[in-house]
Amino acid sequence: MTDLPIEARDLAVRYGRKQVFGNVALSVPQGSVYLLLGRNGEGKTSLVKCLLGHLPAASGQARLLGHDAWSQRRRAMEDVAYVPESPEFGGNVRVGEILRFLEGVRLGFDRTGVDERLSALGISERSRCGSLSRGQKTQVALTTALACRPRLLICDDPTLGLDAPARKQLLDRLIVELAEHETTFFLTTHDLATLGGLADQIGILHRGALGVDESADTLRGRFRRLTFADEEAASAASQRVASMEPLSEPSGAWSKGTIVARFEPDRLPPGVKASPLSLEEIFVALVDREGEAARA
Amino acid sequence: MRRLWAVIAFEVSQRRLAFAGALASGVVPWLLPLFFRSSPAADIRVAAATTGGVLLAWGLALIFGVTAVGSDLAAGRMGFHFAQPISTGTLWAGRFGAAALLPIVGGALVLLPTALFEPQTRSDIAREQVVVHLALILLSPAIVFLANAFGVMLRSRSLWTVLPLVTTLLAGLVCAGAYYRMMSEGTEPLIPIVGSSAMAIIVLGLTACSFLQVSGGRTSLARANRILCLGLSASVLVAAAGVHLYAKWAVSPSFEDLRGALRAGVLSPDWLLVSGPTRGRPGYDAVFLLHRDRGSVVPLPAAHAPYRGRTSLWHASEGGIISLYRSPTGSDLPTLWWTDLTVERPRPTATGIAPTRTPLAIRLSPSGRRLAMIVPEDHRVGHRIVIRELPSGRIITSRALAASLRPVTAPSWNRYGWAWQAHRLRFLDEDRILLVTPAQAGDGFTIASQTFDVDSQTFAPGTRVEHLSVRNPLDLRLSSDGSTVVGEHGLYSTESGLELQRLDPDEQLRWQRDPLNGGRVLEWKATFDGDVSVEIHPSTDAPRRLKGNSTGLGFSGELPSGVLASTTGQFFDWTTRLWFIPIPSGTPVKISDGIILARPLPPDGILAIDLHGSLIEYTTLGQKRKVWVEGELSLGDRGSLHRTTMLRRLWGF
Amino acid sequence: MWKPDPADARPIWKQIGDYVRLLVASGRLAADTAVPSVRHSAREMGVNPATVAKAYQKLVDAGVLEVRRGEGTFVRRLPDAEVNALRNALLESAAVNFVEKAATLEIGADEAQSAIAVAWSRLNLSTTEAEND
Repeated sequence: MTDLPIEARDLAVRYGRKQVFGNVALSVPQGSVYLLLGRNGEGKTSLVKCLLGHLPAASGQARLLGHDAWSQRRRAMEDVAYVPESPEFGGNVRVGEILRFLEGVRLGFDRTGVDERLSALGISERSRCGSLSRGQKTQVALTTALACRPRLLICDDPTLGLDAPARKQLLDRLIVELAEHETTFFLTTHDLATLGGLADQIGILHRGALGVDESADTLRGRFRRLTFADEEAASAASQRVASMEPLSEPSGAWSKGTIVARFEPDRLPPGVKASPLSLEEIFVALVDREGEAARA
Repeated sequence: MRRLWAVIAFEVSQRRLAFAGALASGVVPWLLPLFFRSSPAADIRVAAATTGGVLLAWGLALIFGVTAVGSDLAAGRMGFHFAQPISTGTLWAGRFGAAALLPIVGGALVLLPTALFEPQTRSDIAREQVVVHLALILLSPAIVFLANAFGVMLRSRSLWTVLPLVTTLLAGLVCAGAYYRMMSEGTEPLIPIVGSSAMAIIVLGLTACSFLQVSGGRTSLARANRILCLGLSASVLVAAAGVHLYAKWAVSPSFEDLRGALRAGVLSPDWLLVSGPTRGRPGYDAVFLLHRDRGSVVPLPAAHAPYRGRTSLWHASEGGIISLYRSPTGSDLPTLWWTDLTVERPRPTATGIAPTRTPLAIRLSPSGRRLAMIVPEDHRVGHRIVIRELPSGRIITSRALAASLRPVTAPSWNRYGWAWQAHRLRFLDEDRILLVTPAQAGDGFTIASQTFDVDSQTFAPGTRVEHLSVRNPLDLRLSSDGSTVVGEHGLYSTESGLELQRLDPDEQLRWQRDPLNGGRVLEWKATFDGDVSVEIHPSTDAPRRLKGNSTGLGFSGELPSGVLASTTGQFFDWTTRLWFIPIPSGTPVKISDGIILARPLPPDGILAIDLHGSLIEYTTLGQKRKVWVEGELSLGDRGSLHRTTMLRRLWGF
Repeated sequence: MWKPDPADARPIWKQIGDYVRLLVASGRLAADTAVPSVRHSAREMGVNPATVAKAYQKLVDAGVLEVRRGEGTFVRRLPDAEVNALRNALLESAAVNFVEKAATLEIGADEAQSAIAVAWSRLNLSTTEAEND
């Protein structure tokens, strides 16, 4: 295996006898942004914990920057920074103490600009973490994480619970980091509206497997919503549509339509309109098949 | 190291409030005397400082132990720490190190100022108090690890917590069993050692578990709890197994485990009694019967060790057929135990005889089937003779002795220790007992003889020797068979009442006179240059010298072959010299340096233990024979030899 | 402030590229004007700077932009023929969209053209009004 920022092979995690996910393979190249999507409870956080060496894999292997995640955790963490979901430090811990701790623990900790950035957000060195808002806590976590000058940043649902301005601040911070450094990002999220624009690579964890693992451009390129003029048009086109991997039978209250996963423009039958989907819509379409079937 | 320091600094700064508050309370010992004016201020300060220091240390240890890792683990905050480039070891050492050291520092800061500056603590008692409390403060880390374990187990609310509870219960039962076993076998001195070793194992186990919990459980409370429960259960089981196995091993030493036969005795021509410390069992003496010729060994229960405590009550019948002793010593209800030494494997059996007070005289009949005892009456007026059947202990006869005499009732202390010397008992045959009684009467002592008939339960008065004067009652000495008595002026026969020897009452530097068989008397004197002089009367020869001082002076007895065995000690040394003194010539012959005599004496020689720990026999011709050839017993250092010498003075008979 | 459309099938870098082309073709982005820095654009659009950089690179390769060492990235002075080609290309794709819509509504070519005329006059009116203000 190589020195890629993240590389996982045949990864599986179990809680007791229940398997959370299995057979997961991942490759995240240097300098890219990987977005991992998945519904709540599908195992995104477990996968992140496995990659960080916080959880042992039931089978398979995960490597960060060439080091085994579980057994070589310390060496891996030299160049990796982590922002957990809803970061907490303990109510009485002061921000300054966290900074001093990281200065002592991290070799390349770069404090320049950290204090200014935090005070711009209303956070001082003496602020207690218990008195910070959720957005402020996330910013502290992110700022301190980036101050470590990591080669890889892993964030677990960083915009969770943040209001719109806080989300924008977070996105802005990430973009600045990307513009200035070659940092690799691995983010899990639901919030495609905010973070979707960053993604180079998209992964979707669904039903215990990594069903989708490709570039954002490719993903958006191959999905279309096909809208038929009427029932006849739908049935006439059914054979052509079938080869495009439709996600469901044509349905709809106002006009019949279906979403296809492998759109081929030259095979588009006449009278059928093909419109693109946003990443969010693609995600929902892929993971909400049960809901859609119920509605039909 | 830099990273470890960063972890510790972070932990300490988290706990600064609790710690500062604790330090502030260090002032309290100095303020308390203002509120308690009745007691001396210094006492209050010392008490407050010592107790306060310990309470503070333990309280902090409890709190810090629970929060060392547990609260972050339960709140899901450990992810931050595990995402740093710090090894598990550094994280564990930093967190638990801070949690373990802060309470010690806090407790010491409360205790030490008072200990150092309070003048009263210079006294020994107060210093000991300070040391004890300091040691208790140093136990805080154990509490930290225990608190961590409990904290994690309680917070996780998982069924796994049942496992350590069950194993602790099991372990407790095993340990209780081991405790009772060790108590009943007389190995009490070992119990604190075993107990503290078991505790140490458990504390070490807790420490190891806390590390495994961090390295294996990482950010998950459930995993950490599982590892902790398994590890804790394992340590508890290991400790219990260790206790059980040690108890089993401790109560069954083999003869080869003896590390120095401090005491040995001859019970019969065939059997020796050997007792001494054993390997790996500090403070515990094992007892064995050793067959002199076959070399076979019979272990006896440790509680039956002879010469334990201060009264030696081993007694053998003539020819060594039966032996009798009182055991277990030190317990509430000692009973007499009876052993038939003619069988292949002698085994003591309880007779059911439980003398409440030390008998004034005790004797076995020639067959060993009857026991004669002289016991004081309950209201201490007069004495009573009791004849019992053995081994059943059934009383055959019991008669009060005539109250016309006031016998010398207190067993006299002589160089050989407490002994049943007030009366002399001798079985003339199975049915008749000769009783020789010293008594105080007016202007001197009277020795009265009488013969007691067991069947008719009557006393037939015999001869009386009256108006015996002695400088002090300790000088009144009867021969072992009661046939002669020595006083200030001479040696008298108790059978005929006649004077056998005239002695000079004014001799200086005379220690004592011992009556020998056959109408002789042995006189010990000191010489001006520190040696011992011995003289046998009747003799026209000048006194003979035994080199060596009186510290080890012992007259071990008169052998039937007409030889006296004696020992003298040396200045600045604890070794003793063995002398044989043939009675006809009276010329002492030095046999050996540095031995410890065994008692009672075998009929044909001397049994002793030399400085190398070998059991050896000296024949009266001065020949030496090693009794136990299978191995060497080491007597250990001079210190144990010193103890041995002190113990020798307590030997009876 | 223009942002890429998340529901557009084209890759973001292509959307940015097409937008810049539109600005250049319509004259709103004059020649020799400096384009905003990658970082600035990325922050404004909320996208990965690498994507913006890729878009710029494609535009440079296509000759729409040029990099002047030490100064930045500028709009290249395009020959008129190129500008016209650009404008026509953009207009063509708009026209295709218009025709597709008409076909969906089953409107014939003549009716469609009259709709164009109506729209044109409305637009001219408003432009004239704007010029008069």
